[in-house]
Amino acid sequence: MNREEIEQDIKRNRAQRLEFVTWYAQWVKRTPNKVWSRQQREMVDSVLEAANKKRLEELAAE
Amino acid sequence: MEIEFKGRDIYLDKELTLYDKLALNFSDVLKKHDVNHVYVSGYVALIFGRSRTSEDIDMLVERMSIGEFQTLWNSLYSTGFYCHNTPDCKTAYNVYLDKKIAIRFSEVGRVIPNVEFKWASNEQHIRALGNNLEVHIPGGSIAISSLETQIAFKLLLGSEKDIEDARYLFELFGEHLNQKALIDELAYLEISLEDAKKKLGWQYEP
Repeated sequence: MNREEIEQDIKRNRAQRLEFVTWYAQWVKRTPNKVWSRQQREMVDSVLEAANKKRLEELAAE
Repeated sequence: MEIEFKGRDIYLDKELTLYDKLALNFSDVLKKHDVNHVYVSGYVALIFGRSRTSEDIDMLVERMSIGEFQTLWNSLYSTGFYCHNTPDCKTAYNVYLDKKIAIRFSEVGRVIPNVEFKWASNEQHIRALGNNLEVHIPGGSIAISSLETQIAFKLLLGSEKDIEDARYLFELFGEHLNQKALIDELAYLEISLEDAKKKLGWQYEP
């Protein structure tokens, strides 16, 4: 893969991410709070709990 | 999304994330001491459902005297928060905040997420502080910077994540946004309307 192909790949990836963000915002708009906020809480909290646990272990090992 | 706008107040019933709980608990302490503050940046997208994570939530605070800060600091510590940067209040004030360096607070036993706390120290910050919305969620309310201010500011920051946050807020609140206020914010930050339209997917025609 040459530099030009990599740059095109990055550009395409950015556009796809923006498309997803647009789609997701539209989904949240038409979805009951109970549904989207539960999914958000489950995703966000699980990532944060794992990151917090890892950071505390790193600090304890220092 | 069931959401209600009443002037500067927004009512949103949702399941709270760890970000929301941290923001509410931290704000409660500041409110007890009448500290003027506002949440800005990524948290403004997160409170409304954006599905991404961050280690921190950003807050701008009106500068106060060292005496007032000491009182706030004591109250934060007695409520169960601690400062990552230093355990000393005067150091936090003189070496960090007054040198325009943010400090971070977490609940005891946690490192992530944390509140990034800094003085509102420039004109953009002061505008954000004075132009806020109150979001009412289960358990209390939270002051956030206006949506138009945040969308424009996120475009100015310009990273992939920031542009995505701006696009998310724009897409979610399209019909509730004040287009003139957004155009004014873009002009204030010297962001071209054409560039903003492209990044936001905005079909605006003057």
